[in-house]
Amino acid sequence: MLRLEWSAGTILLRGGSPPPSIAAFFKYDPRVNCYRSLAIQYRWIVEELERAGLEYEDDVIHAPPCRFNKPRNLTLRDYQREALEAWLRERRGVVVLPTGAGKTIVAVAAIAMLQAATLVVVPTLELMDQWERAIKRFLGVVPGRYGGGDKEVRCVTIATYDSAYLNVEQLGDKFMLIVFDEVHHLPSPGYRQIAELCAAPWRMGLTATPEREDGLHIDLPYLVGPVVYRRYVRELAGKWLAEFDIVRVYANMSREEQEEYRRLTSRYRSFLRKRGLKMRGPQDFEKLIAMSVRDIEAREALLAWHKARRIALHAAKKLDILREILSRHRNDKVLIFTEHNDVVREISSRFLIPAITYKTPEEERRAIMRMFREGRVRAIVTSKVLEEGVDVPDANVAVVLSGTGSRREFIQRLGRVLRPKEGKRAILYEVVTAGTKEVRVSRKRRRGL
Amino acid sequence: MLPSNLLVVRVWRGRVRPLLLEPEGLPVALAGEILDRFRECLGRSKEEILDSMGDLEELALEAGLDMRVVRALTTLAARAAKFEPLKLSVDPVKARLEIFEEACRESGFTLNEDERRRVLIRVADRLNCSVEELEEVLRRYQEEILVAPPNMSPEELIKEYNLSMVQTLTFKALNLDVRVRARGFQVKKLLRTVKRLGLLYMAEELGDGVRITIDGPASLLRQTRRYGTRLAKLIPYVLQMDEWRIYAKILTRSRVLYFALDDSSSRLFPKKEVEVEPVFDSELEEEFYKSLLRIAPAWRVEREPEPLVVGRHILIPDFSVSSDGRKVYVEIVGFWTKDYLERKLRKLRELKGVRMIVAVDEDLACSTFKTLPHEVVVFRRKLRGVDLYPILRRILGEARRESYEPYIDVEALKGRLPDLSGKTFGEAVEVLKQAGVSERDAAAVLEMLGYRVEWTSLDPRRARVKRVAAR
Repeated sequence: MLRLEWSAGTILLRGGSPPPSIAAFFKYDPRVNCYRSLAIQYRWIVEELERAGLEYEDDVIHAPPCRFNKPRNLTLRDYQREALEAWLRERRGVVVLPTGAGKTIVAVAAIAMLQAATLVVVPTLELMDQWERAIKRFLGVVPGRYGGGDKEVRCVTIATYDSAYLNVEQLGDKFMLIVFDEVHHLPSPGYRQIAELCAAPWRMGLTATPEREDGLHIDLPYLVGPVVYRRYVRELAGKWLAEFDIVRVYANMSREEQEEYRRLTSRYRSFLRKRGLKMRGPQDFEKLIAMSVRDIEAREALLAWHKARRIALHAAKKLDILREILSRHRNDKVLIFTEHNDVVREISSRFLIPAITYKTPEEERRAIMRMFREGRVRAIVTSKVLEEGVDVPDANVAVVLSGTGSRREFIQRLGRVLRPKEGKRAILYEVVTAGTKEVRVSRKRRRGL
Repeated sequence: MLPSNLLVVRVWRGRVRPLLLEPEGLPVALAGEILDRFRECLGRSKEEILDSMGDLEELALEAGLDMRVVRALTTLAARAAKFEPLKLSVDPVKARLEIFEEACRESGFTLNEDERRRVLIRVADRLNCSVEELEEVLRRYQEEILVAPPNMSPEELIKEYNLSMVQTLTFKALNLDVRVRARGFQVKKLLRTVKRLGLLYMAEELGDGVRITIDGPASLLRQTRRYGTRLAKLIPYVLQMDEWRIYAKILTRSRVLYFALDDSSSRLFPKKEVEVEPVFDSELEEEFYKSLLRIAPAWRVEREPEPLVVGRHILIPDFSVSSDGRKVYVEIVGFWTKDYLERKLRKLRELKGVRMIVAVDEDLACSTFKTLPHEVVVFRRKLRGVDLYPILRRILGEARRESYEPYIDVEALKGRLPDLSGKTFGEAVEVLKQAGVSERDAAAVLEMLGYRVEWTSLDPRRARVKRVAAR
């Protein structure tokens, strides 16, 4: 009799060769003398074996026992119910909803409905905490945590992308359903292995923007399933998302900064001229970086470029503007985003605002988030770590002091203040140094809206 | 192992080679300078120390070296150094949270120096510390301070760098093809690590060595670098072997490159303390080894000798015993998991072309073991050299007799002993022991006394002692 076995991210077929309809999934492995397939094919293998009416033994999934309470206080909005129904048809696929529209609830409802062992994969520890709260609240069970030092599998388990990638050999056979939060991370060459080496037959992806600049989102249908439901910000703003304004503020460089900026950019340009180099895209810039490790002039040119960029991003005037913005919003809840960690530190120390960076100790990060929710602190300054998923409904002011040209980054930063609340109108300030490349960068990222 | 942006390689005709440094000349001078700076920077912060190496990067560039070399050396030196968190008089996390909450209570955020000062004074008061200490907490709380510089020579740093470069390149490897001639225990260590890391291997004979190709379960189905970091962990085991050669397929962004390295580069890598002898797996094996050495000092007994290739796998026998160009292997099968026994059995059944004695614990002596195409001996809990002596002698022939003929007055002994015929071999050994004959001499002495041991079963202790008809 044929027998399917789990083996570290793959499935072994013992007791014979695969029938023709699934032969393409398998390859004969001389190291173990039987056929082997990627775990992602598990669902299709079983479906085909059933269809062919073949007898087989199935020892692939080893899920922990599961029993949930009936979900409490779980009422779905119309679009959430539609999303859930669309997903349930195949029990796989991507649900696209704007940030703040309550994607988590759709997944929690699916878990409750299927009563199945579930792995939730999230990009940050902060999101891990938020999912933990949601699962406790709605499903009445304590989820296991995998990542940030924890390694515990329970019926519902939450893992970061990093630890799921590292541990998929141990996790891949423990769940029937796998939920990828912020699923646009998944198609990258490393993280996609979580999907490929996991046997879970049911898969859900959640995101506000599935599209990736590198085009790899075309693999999402293979990894989790196609987009089964989609709603845009403009369809939900006003009723289900807060109304918002975007205000652009220009900062002028001081005379010294202007001179320095001009000196540095001209040094950089003259190097390019001298070598006959043209900067047409990221590949050209990568070439310059590659040159700089062996070529002293290229190194100096690159350093000049970095310094000029820093001056533009962190013109001293920007902190004065921040001061003005803060003085206008003393009673609001403010999130400040900036590019470099030492500027985060500077702002934190000057305005006595808590900072969260990737270096912030776990204990402190949690305390800060709790205090922010409770209103015991009313601002947080951060670099990249809070872009995704800080869920504080009454945060209503975002200040982007510096950032890249990425549309996703911009939409996500805006999304932080779009959680709906009675009578709320969100505002996003974008502080841009006048007369520098930053003006163009800002225009580029706003095209995403 | 280094971050991959510090990997320096040269690519030429489809081959890739990491930039390895000779432990002499300019690289050593550079390494020495870096180590000196660490020694001078005791008490300074890590950030500060790393930032201060900029001029060395320029120096390296001018000397025609890649500046990533300096960063890599600095990274490795920092890893070998000891840093501690900056000592502060108050709990920094608690103090910071106090400050932020107080500032919020005051005015949301502090927008001028006065407001800020007022907040700090109030918190300092509450925590019983000074405002200056709070400023430290705000600005420096995550700093790590150098408390002990790296304890290594410049040459050692260079060798560490070379190993790290090879390992960092291996991160991108699709597989690792290792060709070695080495002692069994060295190969065993490598293969145990392969297993522990969840990797798989295939082996074949190659001249008088072996070729082992290592990758992971999914490698069969995907070109994947998933196992690269694990393959890198195997490198140090290979570098310790006598003769080695490594091939790896390296997957770059666009294509597959080949990487080769062999023992002609051994001098570039750190030499770890090499174990002269393997550690015993069990007391059982250790006892057996000692007793075999005692009864047969003329035979050459080797523990975990050269690896044998069986099918696509490797079997490392527990012992080999050789004499005058003849050799026999000994494998002891004691208590272990069912899985392990099945694998062992499968391997032993496939093993051909060598002489092998399999000693099996009585409790495991199921019929399957008896059908093995080898000499099979059953023992009870303890295995002694004498138990295998007769078989060994049959295979290896008489070793030079004088070397193991005991100095014993046989005639005197005869008078003191009861008749031993009809007793089991085990009982006879006990009687001889009482009479002052050591276990190692027992088999030989019985022969000199005119007995012979009749092996009626696989268990040596059940063998019967019979008197040989007087000639």
